[in-house]
Amino acid sequence: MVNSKAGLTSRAYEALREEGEGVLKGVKTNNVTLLVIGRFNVDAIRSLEAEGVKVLSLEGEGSCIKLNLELPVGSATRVLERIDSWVRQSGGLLIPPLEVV
Amino acid sequence: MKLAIVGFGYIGRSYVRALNRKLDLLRSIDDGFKVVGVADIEGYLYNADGLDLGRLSVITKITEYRGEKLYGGSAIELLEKGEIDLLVEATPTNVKDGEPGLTHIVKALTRGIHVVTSNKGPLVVAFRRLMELAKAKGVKLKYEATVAGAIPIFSLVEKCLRGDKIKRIYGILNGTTNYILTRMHFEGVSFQQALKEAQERGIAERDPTLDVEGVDAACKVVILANSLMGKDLKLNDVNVTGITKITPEAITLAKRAGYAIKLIASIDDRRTVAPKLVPLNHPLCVHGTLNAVRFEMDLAGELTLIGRGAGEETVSAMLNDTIDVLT
Repeated sequence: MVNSKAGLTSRAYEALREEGEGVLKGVKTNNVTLLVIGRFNVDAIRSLEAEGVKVLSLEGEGSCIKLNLELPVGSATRVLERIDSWVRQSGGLLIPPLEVV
Repeated sequence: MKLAIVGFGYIGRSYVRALNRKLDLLRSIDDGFKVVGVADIEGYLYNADGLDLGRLSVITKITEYRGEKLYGGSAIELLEKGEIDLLVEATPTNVKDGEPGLTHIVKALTRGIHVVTSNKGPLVVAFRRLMELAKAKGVKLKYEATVAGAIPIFSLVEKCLRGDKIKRIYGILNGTTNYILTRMHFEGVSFQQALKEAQERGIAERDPTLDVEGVDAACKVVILANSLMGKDLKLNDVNVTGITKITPEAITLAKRAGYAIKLIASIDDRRTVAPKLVPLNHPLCVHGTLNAVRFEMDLAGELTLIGRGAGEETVSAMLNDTIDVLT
């Protein structure tokens, strides 16, 4: 049977999917891009390094910064909630990614 | 089927025009189909033999309808006339107490009258109570138009995905904020400039608070969760963040990284409305006043629906609900 969208046989499609899932299972970290609007102490994020969080890059534009973080897989929601709490305390806004792993 | 319309604003009038346009279709389903009453704040029109849809279609206030007595009473009085099978409730949304729509809908259901509504307020305030009342009275309460306008969300899930379990629903459920964020994204204007433009074009209300603070999207989260996921939520169960703090600098940084900022409503084990970074090639990255809703189902996987979330297209959902009651 041919999968009409991908032009693949069902068996090939399943094989590719299994391979993809296998790769994902091997992933230990997750790169996340987020924006912070307003005043924010970047050192606070560095305090998360003990939990395996790394700041990969930081870019500023006016009163906004873009952060690329490397997070341990499975920790993104918890880490983003903590950052969100810090940002809100200073009256700012955290804009997280649509999806986190 | 004898129908009464309560609320003769933009949606009520658009619905009347759609009925007039589709009268042959409606009569082919039910040869006794007629509109016997229309009410707004000025009073109501009532004729048991049916009002003239052609004439109703070209007026902007019911006081302009000639040749029929204008009763000074309320919509409740119209519903007590006893010759009504279906109420179409199209009064403005009030998220605080659901009124006056809540009273209209309770009155109709109590009297065994089917209800089609575009009004979110009563469903946000009293979803379970209204559904139980409709069930007890053996009548239908249909509300497709309350969430994402013309996009057939409830019909799709109830009729085409009956064996599936919904794991997550998320998407863009407010066209006004999507328009504002789109203008900021493509034109680099400030939030205030984009809002002003939206107001001038009639896309945003004069008081845009409910839209820009995320409350309108949160109302839709409540209705979706209660209707499709068996919850019993109220508005304060939704964690809401609006778009008023978003700056042109944030939009620029997001764009440079391959994202657009969108106000995303999300329902899984949490219920939130908040700005999120959406990849530019993601199916939810729709622009202008479009809405987009994505389902994660246990069997069907991911499904995305895109369409008009407000405006005249909303009557498509109301008409389909009407036909559902007729059949």
